[in-house]
Amino acid sequence: MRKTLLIALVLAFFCALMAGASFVDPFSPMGFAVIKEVRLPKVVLALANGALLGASGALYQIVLRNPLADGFTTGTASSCALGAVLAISLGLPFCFVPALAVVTGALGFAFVYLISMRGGTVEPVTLILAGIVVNVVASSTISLLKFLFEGSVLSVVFWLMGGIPLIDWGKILAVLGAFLFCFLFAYRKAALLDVLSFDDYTALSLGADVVWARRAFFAVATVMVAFSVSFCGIIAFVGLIAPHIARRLFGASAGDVLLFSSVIGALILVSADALSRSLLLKGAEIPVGVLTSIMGGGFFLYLLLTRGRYGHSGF
Amino acid sequence: MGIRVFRLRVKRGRFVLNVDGLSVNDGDKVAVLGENGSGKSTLLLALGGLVPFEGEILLDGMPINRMSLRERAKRISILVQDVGLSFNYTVFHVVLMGRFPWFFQGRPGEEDLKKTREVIEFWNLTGLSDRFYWSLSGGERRRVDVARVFNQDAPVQLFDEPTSFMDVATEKLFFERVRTSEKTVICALHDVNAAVFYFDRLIFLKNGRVVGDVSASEVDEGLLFSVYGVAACRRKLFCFY
Repeated sequence: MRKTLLIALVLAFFCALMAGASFVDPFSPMGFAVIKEVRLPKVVLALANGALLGASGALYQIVLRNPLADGFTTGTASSCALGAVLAISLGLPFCFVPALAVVTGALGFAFVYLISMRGGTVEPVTLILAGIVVNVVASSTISLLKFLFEGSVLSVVFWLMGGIPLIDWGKILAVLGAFLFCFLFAYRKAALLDVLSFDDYTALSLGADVVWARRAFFAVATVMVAFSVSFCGIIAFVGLIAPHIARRLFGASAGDVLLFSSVIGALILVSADALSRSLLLKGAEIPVGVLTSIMGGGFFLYLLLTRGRYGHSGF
Repeated sequence: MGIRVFRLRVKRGRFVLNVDGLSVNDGDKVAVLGENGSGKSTLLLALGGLVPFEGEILLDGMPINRMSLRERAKRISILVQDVGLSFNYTVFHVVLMGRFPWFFQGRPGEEDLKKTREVIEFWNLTGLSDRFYWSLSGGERRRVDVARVFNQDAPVQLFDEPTSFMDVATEKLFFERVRTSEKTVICALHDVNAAVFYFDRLIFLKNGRVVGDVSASEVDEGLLFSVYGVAACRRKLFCFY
């Protein structure tokens, strides 16, 4: 299964390079240039961004002990987008965009987390409801900023529905670097993540510093979401779906869930990006978040309807 | 050495537990009994260092709240009343997690895997090893939890109603293995018969205070009436012990 997944990712990568409104011959100088200068950066960004979303979703779900959590449902993504749009509106240098996204993302997540705490544990339904509140407030504020700073801010659709823009390699490498740094930090502590799947008393009795571990992993997950949102806007549901598929295919072990959520997240986003470039004629693109939301919305509904069918575990 | 408790006061909401002068020697098997809400679980959580408390709890002369979390986990293990596990791990993985305090650089070593296999065999879980935790019955899950606590290999083991959901055969297996182990065991129970039969010493709690600290042979109808408020009599029915 691991090999199949890797082969699927490689195939999706090359198909995405070929996908577009019109067919280009990769062996012609013109076609090669289109693939190298336009499609390759977009596909690599989709790959890195999908991996970021998948891994961050896995982290949120494990550490919150909630199979419905990810950067989007916790309100972190829209809070990060608000920070990014604010930094752009204020004309700050680009390095401040992800930095401010991290700050507002952390504030948004902290609000949702504190609201949903009941008796020392996070109440799953309250978490989702509080996430909706943050999403609505942050999205409205983004629309207001767009209204006030018409010229400097990209379209509201880009920030709220997400997209894979054509950006320079330096920024793409920053996204890849953020993924690798955060992923390795979490992956090296996979056994601690496993222990955090227990109730707090049991985790503490096994020697896990539950409070500090949660804070550290939340910070890492928020940085991941901030980097994703700063470059690609809010791409919903990839972070929710990927860990569920990973758990179904490879079991609940945190190391495997992190690794394969990243791979599956990358696979979903590379495929969605390829589709978004191919479905419309004349080079028009559907925002990639529209496609992931259609897929993810259905999956989310399925999760809500089947909640409890698999006992306490969800998946 | 062992455990010494001085002027312990634990406040949980409106409930307050007060225990002073309790001592448990190495290798002792102690049952903690009392009606619902008398403070059994709170006492175990405090002895495990899992809830804030006033006073002193010493393990081999060292205050447990001054030990590092990892050091304490190597010396005290606890099975809480309601184990929560968010995702569907295999039985092997759940039992392996008991070795977490012993992991080298955050990863299980060969020794951890070997011990886990031994503990799984010891608790007759070999056939369930690859099954998912949440696909098991309540009694089977409890056995897996007990195995995880044994795999932690701490010299002090605290169990909060470990035999709930277990069938009589598994219950008997648990009590016999506890009785023959070299560990110090403190176990909150509701089954007075099992406590009298398998444990050296019985501590009775009522309203957050110790109202009886007796050897198994000293338990009588009067003490039980003062604790539970219902009359008990010695009458042989079916007994599996």
